[in-house]
Amino acid sequence: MNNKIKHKFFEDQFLLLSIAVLLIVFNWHFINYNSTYLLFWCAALSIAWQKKDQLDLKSNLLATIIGLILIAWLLFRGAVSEFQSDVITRIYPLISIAGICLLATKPSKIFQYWREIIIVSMTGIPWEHIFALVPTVGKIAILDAKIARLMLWYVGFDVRRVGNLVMLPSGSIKIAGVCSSFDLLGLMWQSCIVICLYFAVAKNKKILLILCSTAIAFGVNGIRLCLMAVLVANKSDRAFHYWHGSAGAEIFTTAAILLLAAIYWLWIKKEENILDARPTSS
Amino acid sequence: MNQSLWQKSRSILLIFSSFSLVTTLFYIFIKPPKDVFHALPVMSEWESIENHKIKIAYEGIEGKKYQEKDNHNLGIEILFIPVLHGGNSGLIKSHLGFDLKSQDLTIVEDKNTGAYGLFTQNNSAYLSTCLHSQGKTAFNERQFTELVNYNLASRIVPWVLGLSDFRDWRCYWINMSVDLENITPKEATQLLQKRLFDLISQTKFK
Repeated sequence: MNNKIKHKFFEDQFLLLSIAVLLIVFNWHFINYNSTYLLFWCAALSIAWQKKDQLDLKSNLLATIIGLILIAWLLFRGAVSEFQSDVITRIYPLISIAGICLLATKPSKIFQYWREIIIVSMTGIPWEHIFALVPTVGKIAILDAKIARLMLWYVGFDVRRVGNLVMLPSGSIKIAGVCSSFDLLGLMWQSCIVICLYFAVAKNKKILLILCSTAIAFGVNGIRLCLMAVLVANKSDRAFHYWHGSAGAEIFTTAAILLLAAIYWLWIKKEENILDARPTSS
Repeated sequence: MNQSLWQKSRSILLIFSSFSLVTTLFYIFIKPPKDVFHALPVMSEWESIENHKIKIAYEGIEGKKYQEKDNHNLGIEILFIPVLHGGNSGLIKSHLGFDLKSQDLTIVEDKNTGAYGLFTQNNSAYLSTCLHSQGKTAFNERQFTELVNYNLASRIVPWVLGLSDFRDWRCYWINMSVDLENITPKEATQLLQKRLFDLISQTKFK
């Protein structure tokens, strides 16, 4: 019995799984992943695990050597590098997924992991470097300011807006950079892609999902901006710095993702109820 | 290659990869942070007077402060700036509180050393500059950017291996001052320059 367990533990699929889990820890350490990106990795692992019996896990010598070189490069760089904000560090997930896929299978069969590759690759896109080059961020910040002004006006505040500036009588906030909805919008759209790759979603549902995620991103970020504006107007500096910082932003990001997941779950439930209610034709 | 032999070799390689990942992750987690001042010398004449986090605006910036009391109260302050935006003038304003006009400041450019600024305030002579890992100094943004972008081709391989950054924006901000009580401004400048040249010649970045 013990021998059987030992044999099972050293099977290639278990070894590959352990390498994948260790690479997740490695990426989490270097990229300061938010909880959503960790969920993406888990989704990719789950997809691979569900079809483990159908997968061709026979890699060849060349692919194994390339996979090992990629992982060795990551480990060497991780161990010696003092610099953790460069572009190469940011694309560690892309190198990791390439390394693990080449260890797992031949290059000709790598397509069997296309879902996993897309999901993990999304966590390795250097968005912050790309955002710096995109002029649209400024336009989105103005739209955010309009939404925040509307929300504050609706709940009874005396609020004005000029460009991306939201002004209350005793203080104002300027919406720019990561405080705009651009980051959250990107994350929500990526989450939609993950849902569509993980579950079989009908085409019309996909469009609805994207529309919902867009509304959630602007709505949730709008609430955060309103909160920050009110805190500035009340001279609550410490509270403002908390909600402006990464810890405060993470709470709103998680809330947005949970909201999207809840909406999708309600859809599935509704569909199941409709199917259950239908009379059987036999 | 024989199929069963390849299967066995592959399993060994996968076990080896898992083991390497575990040991490297363990090393990464327990590795102590590197002292950012390890490359800079501490002269025998220097007496350490402060060694703590110095606050500039909202950033906690590490710094060291030394003095030579018997040498016209020479003060040496070195701050580690992880990413320098702008030049020295912003640091002089935020850290020393001096809003210098261009006529108050003399910028000296030297082929071997780089560039540094000299000025006088509150009966003290000051030398201020930014030491880059290239081993040269810069005073304004243009000079610093030139050092950052110098010989980029030779930095590609070390960058890919993680041994250095492709563009290194770190700056050791050096600020030296001398009381002008028993010394002429010219002598004070010579003293400050000598200390700067000594410091640069004994710095070991590579």
